[in-house]
Amino acid sequence: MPTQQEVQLLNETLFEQLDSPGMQKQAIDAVNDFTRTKMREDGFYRRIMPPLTVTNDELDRQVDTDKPVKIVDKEPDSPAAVSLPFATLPVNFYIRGPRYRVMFDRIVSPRAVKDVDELRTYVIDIRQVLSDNMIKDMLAEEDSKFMAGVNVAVGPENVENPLSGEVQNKTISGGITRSTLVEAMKIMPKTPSRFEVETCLVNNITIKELMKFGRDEMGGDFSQDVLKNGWAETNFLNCRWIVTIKQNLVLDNELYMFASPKFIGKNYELEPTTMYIRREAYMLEYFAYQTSGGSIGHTNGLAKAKFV
Amino acid sequence: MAVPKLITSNGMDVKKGWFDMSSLDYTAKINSSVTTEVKAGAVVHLDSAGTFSLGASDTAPAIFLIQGSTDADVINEGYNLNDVNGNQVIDRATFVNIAVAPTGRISGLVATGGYEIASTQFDSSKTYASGELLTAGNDGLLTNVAAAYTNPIVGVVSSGLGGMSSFGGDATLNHHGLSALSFWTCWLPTDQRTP
Repeated sequence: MPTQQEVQLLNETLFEQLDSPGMQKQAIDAVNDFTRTKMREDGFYRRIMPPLTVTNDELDRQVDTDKPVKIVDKEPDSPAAVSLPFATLPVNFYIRGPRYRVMFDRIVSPRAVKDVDELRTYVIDIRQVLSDNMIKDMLAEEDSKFMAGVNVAVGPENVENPLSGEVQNKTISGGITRSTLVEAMKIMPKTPSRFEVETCLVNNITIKELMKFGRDEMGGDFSQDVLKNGWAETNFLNCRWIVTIKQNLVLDNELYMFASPKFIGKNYELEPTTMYIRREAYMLEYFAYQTSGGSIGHTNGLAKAKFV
Repeated sequence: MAVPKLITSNGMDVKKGWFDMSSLDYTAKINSSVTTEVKAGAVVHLDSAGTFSLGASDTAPAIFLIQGSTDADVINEGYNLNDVNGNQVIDRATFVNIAVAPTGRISGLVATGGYEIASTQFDSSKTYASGELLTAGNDGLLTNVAAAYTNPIVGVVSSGLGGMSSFGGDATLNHHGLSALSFWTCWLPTDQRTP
């Protein structure tokens, strides 16, 4: 936490940069340093599917659109090996590999407008004030888009997913216990891909159910630590657990499970989060934007459990 | 394999009034009841569900779409969207991907914003003269079969057919060789008074 003196220095620096003609870029850089750190910390989509930077050269030109598109190859399935007697030839299969497209759109924060003289009276970290709400909104939008895709992929509750032939969105009775958690962990490996869960996502209410586990359920001093210090992001059930406060996206008593990102799809970033700042006379305006695209190319690396 | 769509096939040029930071635009999803492709330049309005429905409304201002509903920054279809009951369907034989982005949101310019637009989305069976009132049917196409207060008025014909230059000597075609109707946007709802 910066001191008030440091905060004022930061604000003065920002104003100095905005005051000098042609110095808007430096002001933007000053804000970007902060926003990028928050982005990595706050968006669970980015933690589950780390963004991969795409350059212009890596985009795939299309005939029917001049908008950015990236084509991704999928691992093809192949017929199973068989045992044969001698003097027998194998059957043929012609090689065809499926592909999918990742398309891009822009996430933009609202544009804020303010008279700079009114900003002079603030003693808080103005860089944080400028960017915090915008970045939170952008992260919520990003996470919301991802969860909408995940919910389509896992399908309706207790209905067999036609792609895997298995239920990937399962209701599990008995509340959240060691036993029901382990039951949930079986959902993903039962798909034909046999993936193991790498990341678990729950909300900050659901995680408190896990904090109720006693020594016999959670195991040894871990139970004691959780009760004493609360839940910190840690490995549990050989998975990384992400706890979100976005209870509208991840409901209470729901657990989303993700395999390694390479088994799920792609999250591409064409233009990283950028803060646009412009000062015209005494009016300041600013907004943040990014261009990104993502697709789930394979659904077996996703699963959901609802504990009832 | 289907013939690919030309980038220039449909669309609208905004000749005046766009873009700058204060332009009046609006972004929403297309109503799920619209199952046909909605092309750039089509007329829509914001319905009670907060989505775009095709055509002009008696009371909701007209909006002219900047993108088409199948544009790459609007949708990335990778599976069959809906079955007859409106449920999302994923089929093993056709599944390609599920898009995280884009999400189906599409942008348009609001008629009250004050623009001159050249749109390919109009009833080409009609002839158009400068100063004629324009409305739009449920297909989202502009037409001059419009009477003030009876039909919602979405624009007034400016230079009419053609673009900023003629194409092959045909002044009714725009620079892509397509017919486009130029008009100024305006908005006049139907008469809502009870007789």
